[in-house]
Amino acid sequence: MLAAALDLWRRAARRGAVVAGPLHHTWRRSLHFRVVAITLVTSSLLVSSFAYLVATQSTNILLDRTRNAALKQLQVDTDYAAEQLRAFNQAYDQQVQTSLRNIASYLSRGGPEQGGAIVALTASKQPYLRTAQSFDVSPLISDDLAHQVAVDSRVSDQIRTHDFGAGPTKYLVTGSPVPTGFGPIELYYIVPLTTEDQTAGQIRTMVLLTGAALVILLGVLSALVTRLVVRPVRVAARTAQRLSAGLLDQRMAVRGEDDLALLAASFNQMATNLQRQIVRLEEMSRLQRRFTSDVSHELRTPLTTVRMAADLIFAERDEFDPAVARAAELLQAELDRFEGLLTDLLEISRFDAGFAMLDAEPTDLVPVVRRVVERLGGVSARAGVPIEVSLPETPVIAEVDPRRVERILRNLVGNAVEHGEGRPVSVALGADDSAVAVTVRDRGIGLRPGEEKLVFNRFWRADPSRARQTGGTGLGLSISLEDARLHGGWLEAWGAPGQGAQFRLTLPVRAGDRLTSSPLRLVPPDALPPNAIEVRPTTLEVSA
Amino acid sequence: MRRRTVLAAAAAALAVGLTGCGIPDETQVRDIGPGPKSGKPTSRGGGAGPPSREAATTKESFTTNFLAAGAGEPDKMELRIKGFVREDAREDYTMGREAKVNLARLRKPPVYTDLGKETWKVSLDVDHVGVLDAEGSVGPAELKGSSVEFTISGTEGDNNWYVTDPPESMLLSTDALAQFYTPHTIYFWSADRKTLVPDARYLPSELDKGRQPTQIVEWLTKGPPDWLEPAVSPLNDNAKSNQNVPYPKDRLEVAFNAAAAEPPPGIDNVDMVLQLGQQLMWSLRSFVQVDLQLSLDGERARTFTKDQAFYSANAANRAPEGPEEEDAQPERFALVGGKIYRLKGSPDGGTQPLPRLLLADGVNEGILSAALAREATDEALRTAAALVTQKDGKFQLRLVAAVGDGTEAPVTSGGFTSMGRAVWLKAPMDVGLVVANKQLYQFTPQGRLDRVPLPAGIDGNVADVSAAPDGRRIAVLAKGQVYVLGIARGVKVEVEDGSYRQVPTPLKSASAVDWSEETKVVVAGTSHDDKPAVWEVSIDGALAEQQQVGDPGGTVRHLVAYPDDPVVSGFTTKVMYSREGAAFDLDGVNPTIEAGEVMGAPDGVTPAQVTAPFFLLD
Repeated sequence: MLAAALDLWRRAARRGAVVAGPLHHTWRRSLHFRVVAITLVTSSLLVSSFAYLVATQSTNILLDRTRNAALKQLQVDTDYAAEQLRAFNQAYDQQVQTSLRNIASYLSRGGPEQGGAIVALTASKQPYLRTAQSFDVSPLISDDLAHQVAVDSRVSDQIRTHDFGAGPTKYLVTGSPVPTGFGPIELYYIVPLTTEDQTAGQIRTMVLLTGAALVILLGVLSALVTRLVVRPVRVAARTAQRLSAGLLDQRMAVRGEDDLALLAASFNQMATNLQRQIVRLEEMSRLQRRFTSDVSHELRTPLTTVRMAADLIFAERDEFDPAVARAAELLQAELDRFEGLLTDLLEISRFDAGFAMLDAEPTDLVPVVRRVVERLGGVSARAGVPIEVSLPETPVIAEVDPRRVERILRNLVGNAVEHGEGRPVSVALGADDSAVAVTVRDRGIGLRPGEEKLVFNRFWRADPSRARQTGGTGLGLSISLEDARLHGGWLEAWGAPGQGAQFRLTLPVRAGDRLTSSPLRLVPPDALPPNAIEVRPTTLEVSA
Repeated sequence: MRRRTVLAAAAAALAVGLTGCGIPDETQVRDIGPGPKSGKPTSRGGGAGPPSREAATTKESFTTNFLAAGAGEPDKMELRIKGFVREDAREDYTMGREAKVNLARLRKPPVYTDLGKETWKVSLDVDHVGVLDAEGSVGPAELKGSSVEFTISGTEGDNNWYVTDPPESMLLSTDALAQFYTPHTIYFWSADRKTLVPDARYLPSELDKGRQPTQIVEWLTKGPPDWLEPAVSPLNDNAKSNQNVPYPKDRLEVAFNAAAAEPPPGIDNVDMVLQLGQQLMWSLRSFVQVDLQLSLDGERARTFTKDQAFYSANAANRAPEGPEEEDAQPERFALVGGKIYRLKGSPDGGTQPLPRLLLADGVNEGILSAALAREATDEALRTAAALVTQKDGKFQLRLVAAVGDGTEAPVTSGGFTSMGRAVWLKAPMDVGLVVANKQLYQFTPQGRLDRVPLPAGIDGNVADVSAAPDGRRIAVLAKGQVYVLGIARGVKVEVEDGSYRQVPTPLKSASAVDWSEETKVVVAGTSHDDKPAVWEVSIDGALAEQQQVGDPGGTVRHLVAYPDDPVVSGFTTKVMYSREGAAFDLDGVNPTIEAGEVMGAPDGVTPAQVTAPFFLLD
């Protein structure tokens, strides 16, 4: 039984869950639905408790009235019967039975068909006496009631249901002992509760209908009210979405003077201010980039002329004084630097202007890495920094722009050699299904905490007082970062004071794919744990 | 998990909500309070029933007890009498379908004849008085003869007595009736519904007092005995009272169905409910403590008290009950030399003048006997005198009437060879009766005389006539026997053939009769021992009391009684009679009416000259 109920409950719960799934989704998505649902549930609870109270109370009042009336009548009837039977002191007197019948007949006043009641006189302690009743009411008198009335001599009542042929009917059975000259007998006054039952049913139906109507009304009302509030909010949200998507001239409609109108007005004001600011900033940034680009271009023409002159002088330096020759050499070197700087500036301004294009093709990265290391072989040998290369034996194919990748790697390895302080530089290539990665590790002075991000800033120097040894322009890492970003890849730095630094380039195998992880670790395995040196390594995620 | 709990709770709440309100199919037994207490204890019977068989230890007491065995509730009568009879004789000893027992008056103590083996034959010399039925009414005797015999067996001093050979019929002695029954008068309305007519019944003392009113109402429903029926108007045949009358109770509550108020044919303009109420009031008079409430189906319940209407409903009643009534004396008169004189026993010592109507010329002379009666009518007090006179050997009736102060001229009529004492019928007092030529005649105050045919056997032998105070019953003396007849009063007095019964008297032969109480007559005559005697006998003969013994004089030819008021208690019967040579007033130490007691009589009157004393009946 319990198991069956449990099973039923489980099945219902499962079915409920099926229904509740989308409901739950809607619940989370829609404020409107949530408010209506909460209103419906709360008002249902309130209304049903109220309905229950009203129905119960009215039924109780009905029943109490009937009970009191029956009790009053029973008392009168009992007095009458007691009076009528007082003079008999022997139960076997013939007239006792006759009197019982007469009393029952008189008290029933024609029975319920004629507006009277059902009255039964029983004498449970007098075996001689038969029950006086208009019809057999014994099914209505329970043993408990009979015991209470006859044995305990208590006035008691009970509601019983019985079918006398016209459908099951409820009866209120009130019993009282009747003192007589020959010992107590029992009088039962039985009232059919048909009217009361009907009335209670009507009240219940009415209350239920009213309650349901009220709940529905409340639901509709709350839906309407919520709609009133939620619609402008939705409009605001949509407008904000469009705004954030770049449609800066989106505005909300302002209607009336209420709070929502105020919200719309404020929102519109905010949008206007934002738009103005953004336009201004964009303009400024555009001007700045334009300036840089223009300056670079304008510088290039005189520089070409200067270069040609310098080249001429440099070629003829042997004919000059050694001091002048030295100056010509210096001029030549500085012009090289200047030219490099100008090239980098132009490159950066191209990135800034958004003109940089990715020319991706499937490329094996192993020869790319090897070529970069080989080209820097002279510089490293001069600096006394050996380069250790760790490459896989199989080709590592990825859709990349080889020119840009080579530029990134050249930059990274060059920097490592420059800051290697004579210690070896390690270059490693790793790959997996979705990404390829190259790490470049030096064992120089390393980076201080926080510098992992700063290294990618334009013209950033770790120690501004330190003189530039090599001809770095200060824009290399910025350009590399832009190149990596163009690929949809990451360029990250790790460093710790005294442990050197490691840079990792991670690129997706297929152009346009989104990176989730890198095949190589950013932090080298020989690095000391961060707590030991109290430096937390940080990563910089660069997303396309 | 939390959500499931909430859902389950909500489902449970909904289920409770839908089934919780509304009337439940079945509830526990609800205790309301203690049952009613039995209240004051019931009367537990008005008196004890007759002694049982084992109560007797001698043959005399056993015989007495056997003759009393039937006294009690009718449905137990037969069993109880049979209980006295030995088992082998019980079989054929039965009462019949109706609970009736023969009432017998013992003339002498029983005679016991020893048959040996502790067996005696009991011989009784009895008068069969009548038959007591379940309605407490004593009807005419069914048994003839005066000898009853039965056999009893037992050991003297032991309580193992048995009747071994019972008498033919079941018997009840009149002594037992007097001892174990209470006489109770019930009333029926007269046929013209003008006054109540009493009927004597006997309530068994054994019957619980609380049930007696119910019993009486039942008797009323069942109607009067046969002989009285032409005189009265019984309740409708369909009248029924389905409720007991609770008693003792301040307000006596009687309920009838609607048929009880249905007027009999030929009667209209009568408030039937009021009359039924008065009938009940009178019949239940001794049980009414404060008032009586009569509920009829479909009728507002009405309450009755002992008011003027109550007292006037019964013509036999003179005045509301009160102590002054008990001492009141009737006006007494006597004849001396054919003239009426007051007697000293009257109020004020008889010093008042004679009633005005007797003072006219030629009225108060040559009178042989007189009847004087008075009745209050709607207009005034009505007085009438019927005087028997003799002229030229023929008897005549001189009638005088007076309404208030106006006296009508005397009327004389008739001419008979013999004429007895005249009587006035009351309620209304518009007719009188007189015996003339041994026949019964009725006369009006205007002097019209008509013969009243009487049932065969009585007619033509009438010696004396007397009327009950209600005017609906008469007692007639014929061939030395007393009969009572119920009469119908219309334009004329009519007697139906069957409407009479004999009054069994203890006398061998009666010579004069008069009504002395509602249900009793005074009879003068010769006893079985041939001595003159005056008895007061109930008209069913069951109760008899000898009034005067030891008068050695001749036959009483003139006997008058002043009927007792039904509501005044503590009365003594007032009787006067005269015989050859003397007149007697039984109220007093010296019964003989002396010459000096005749107020205003001429000197030298001897007591022998005082004749035909009479009362003014009012």
